[in-house]
Amino acid sequence: MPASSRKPLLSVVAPEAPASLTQTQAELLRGVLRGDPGADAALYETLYPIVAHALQKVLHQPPDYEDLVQAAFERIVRSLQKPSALEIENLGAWASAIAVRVALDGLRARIRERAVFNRDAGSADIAQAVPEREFEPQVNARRELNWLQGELAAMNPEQAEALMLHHVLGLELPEIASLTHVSESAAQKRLSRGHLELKRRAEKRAKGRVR
Amino acid sequence: MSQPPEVHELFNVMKERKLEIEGDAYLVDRQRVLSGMAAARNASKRRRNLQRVLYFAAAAAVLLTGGFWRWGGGTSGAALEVEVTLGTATQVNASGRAALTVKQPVHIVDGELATARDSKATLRAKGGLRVELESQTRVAVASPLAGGQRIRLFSGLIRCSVPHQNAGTAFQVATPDATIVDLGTVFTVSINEANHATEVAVEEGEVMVRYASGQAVVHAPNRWTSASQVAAVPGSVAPPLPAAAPSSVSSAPKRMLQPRPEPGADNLDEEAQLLRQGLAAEHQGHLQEAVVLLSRLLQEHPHSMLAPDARAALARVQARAQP
Repeated sequence: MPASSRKPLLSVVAPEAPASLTQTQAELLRGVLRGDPGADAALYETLYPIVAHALQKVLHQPPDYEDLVQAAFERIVRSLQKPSALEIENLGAWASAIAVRVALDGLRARIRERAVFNRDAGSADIAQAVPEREFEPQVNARRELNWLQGELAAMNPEQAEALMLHHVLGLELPEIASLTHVSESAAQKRLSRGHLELKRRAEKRAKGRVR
Repeated sequence: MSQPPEVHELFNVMKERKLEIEGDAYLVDRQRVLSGMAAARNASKRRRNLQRVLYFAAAAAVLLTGGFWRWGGGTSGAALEVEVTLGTATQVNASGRAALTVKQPVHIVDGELATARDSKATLRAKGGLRVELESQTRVAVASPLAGGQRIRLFSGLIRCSVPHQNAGTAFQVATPDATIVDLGTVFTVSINEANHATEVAVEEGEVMVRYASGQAVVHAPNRWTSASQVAAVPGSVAPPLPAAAPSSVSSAPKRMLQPRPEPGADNLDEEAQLLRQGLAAEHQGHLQEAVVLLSRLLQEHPHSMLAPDARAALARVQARAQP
């Protein structure tokens, strides 16, 4: 994705609107909306690195990675057909946000299936089976990731999404507000409440460790 | 770690993750994803079509209410004219109880009406609807503005004659165990005293009967009873669905296939209702009934805005009906 990919999807569905998308990107999205042969493949090639990176950042190496990629692209196609697509300016950030949403859904599904706990048990086995010094950083990182994933999945979804968009994707408030279709003040509220909630959970965990 | 890290530090484990494209864990079947994208696009289109149908259904509901307003004479105080033709009858509504006698027509909006032994009464509406109450019959009339064209039959027997111009507004008779939806016809509905079953006899045209476990279209001169919930009298319901849908349409009375005035916004409620009923019948697995309703829509309103949807639905139903 080129750095200059500030694309107004507006121009895709409303050709009379001012165009800030590159011509190629706008044409590509028009083709996807029309169902042109080859357009889906071109969009996939364009967005796969972005979607994959977002999924991998949040989930690392999920066993259902392929399913999640497919779910993300299906959601991208569906979202393109919604009126809210008019508000999107940055295609890359927009696709990343969708992938994060899919990842968050995946996390919640894993929590429901108790899969997270099984994976916790797996990492504990690794820790016991090998010399601790060699694997301590990896095991700790894995443990931190599992804890964070579990807490995000258990939190208010809107707050968790705002946190991930900000801290994982590095988006600022205006972009978060635009991508989540809320006002900046609402996005700010979600982010600050998410911060407080996650901090509270981290403190609770730290107290538990001291005991 | 006794002190909790700052919130932004908690995310380092995610932020620092590098993208991996290679490796078995990150293999993606590209073709599968592309198929999923195409399916998602088509599903969205179907959803939009469905939304369009729902918009029309909502419009139909508004028009139906308006139609009933006209049917009721446009006044809140004179929806139906009641005339006792033999003996006496009793009217009960919010104002109290009133005895009605022969040849003294009164106008009612809602409430209950009961004929005495060896008595008869007739309900009339300006649109031409005529409901004859036999002896010892009790009905409830809904307010035209609130309840639509609906009469509830508690006991006895009524004979309903519904003119074609009212077919689109779907006059209904509700009984304890069934709802009879008029499709432009003459029919009688009664409650069997012995087993309290609903009995429907169609003299002309056809009606749709909805009951607890399904629904059926009953053509003249057939009968239907809720005692068996399917067909108490041999031949009471439409014959089995043939492989070719048009032949099932031809079994409908000719009167039903005659084109009605077209085009015009006034038909929209009827068109939407036919499509909605057809889709509902398809959804419930009543394919024959769906074919009849959708074919009727296409034959009577070939230039309807809903015709493309009806054609698509009809083709789908016919495909499902193939052995």
